[in-house]
Amino acid sequence: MSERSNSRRIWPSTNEPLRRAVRRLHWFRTAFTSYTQEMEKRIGVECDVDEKKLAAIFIAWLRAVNAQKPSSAKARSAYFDFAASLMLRELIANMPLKARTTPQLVDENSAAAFWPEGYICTLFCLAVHDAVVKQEFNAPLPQRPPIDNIRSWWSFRENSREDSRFAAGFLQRLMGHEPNWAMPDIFTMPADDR
Amino acid sequence: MLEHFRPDRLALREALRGLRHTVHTGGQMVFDRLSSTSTERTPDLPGRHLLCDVENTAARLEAIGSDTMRFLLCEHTPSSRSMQALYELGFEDRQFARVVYDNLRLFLQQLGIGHAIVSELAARQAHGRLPANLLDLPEHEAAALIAFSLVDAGVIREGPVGLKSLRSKEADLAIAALLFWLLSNRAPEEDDQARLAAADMALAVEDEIVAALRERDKAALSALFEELAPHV
Repeated sequence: MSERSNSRRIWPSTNEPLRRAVRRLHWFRTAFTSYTQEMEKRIGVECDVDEKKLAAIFIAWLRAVNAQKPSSAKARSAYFDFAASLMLRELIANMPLKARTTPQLVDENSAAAFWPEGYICTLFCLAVHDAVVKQEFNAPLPQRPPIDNIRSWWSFRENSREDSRFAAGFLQRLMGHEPNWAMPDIFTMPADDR
Repeated sequence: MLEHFRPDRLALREALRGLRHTVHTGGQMVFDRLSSTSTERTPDLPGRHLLCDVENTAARLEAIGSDTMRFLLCEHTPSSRSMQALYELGFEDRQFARVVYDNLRLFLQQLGIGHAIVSELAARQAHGRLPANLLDLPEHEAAALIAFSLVDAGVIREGPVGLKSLRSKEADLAIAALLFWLLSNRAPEEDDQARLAAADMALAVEDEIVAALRERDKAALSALFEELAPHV
């Protein structure tokens, strides 16, 4: 978890709340590129970013989020979590990163070394989610399970290659939820909020 | 006689822009041809002098041409306007044409057809073809009508003004990107980033844009503007 919580995060400046800024392509793209640069330094890897793919990913994500947006205000917090998982689904389905080198600053058996592109995308979704939630709800983030279990990452990479929906379930699990593995990219209201 | 000679300033600007384009592309062509010849076999000393002279002349022509044109055309930093700002200024034809000219050029460069040129005169004609009730329509519907009108007026040209209009996928995308950008709600300091985003957004939904423009599907195009412009 230290990768998420201890890092100094500088998001692109904006006059809007982050929940709105993230729904703008120019902000999203700048944020993704900056975050990737930060991760490159941290894990010692060099990546190429395909900006054209990022635009397509952004629009696919925006449409998916708008399509399932719940009408109930009670679902707001849960939907923020779900929207982050859809973002990861789109990033994994149309991977915009390509590592040019092997990560040099992490253990060779770590998740970052195993799949640097997937690792960076996953942490980006969590980081954006955390920043938005912190600003919107002004509450501490819940404790989450560790994210460095290499078996989980192996399963994540293999399964999401066959079906990118798996990525949505993976992120929900990292956020401490139990996903509906049959339909991880379909929003269902948590029982507590109904 | 001369006292009755009052040329349309916009038509004069168009003609001068065409001349600048010809000077630039013509000089570039001569230089490219000589340069490519020289790589096939090493030119002798007189040949190298000739190449050098052509290079210098082309550079001088370009410099003189650009400086003079800039002076005559009063060219300035590209005008930045939003659709809302154009509306508030009364949606006047000269301002509209200027905004189209200034910014569509940048979109053409971003989309890889920098050789094409934009006709400010055609943009003004496009304005003249818009319905009288345009300002009463929702912005995204008005944007669709503006896109059709810019396409019909042939605002993007292949060569000097007066030659044929350029109709290609990239030209359609440039017009749609311009409208995404005009409709977007952005701070002045976000102009350039938003311009890049608008071009990539148009590329990301290129099939939808090209189909809507080809089939003149106003509902589809205006729905696309309404859906995506707030997210540039």
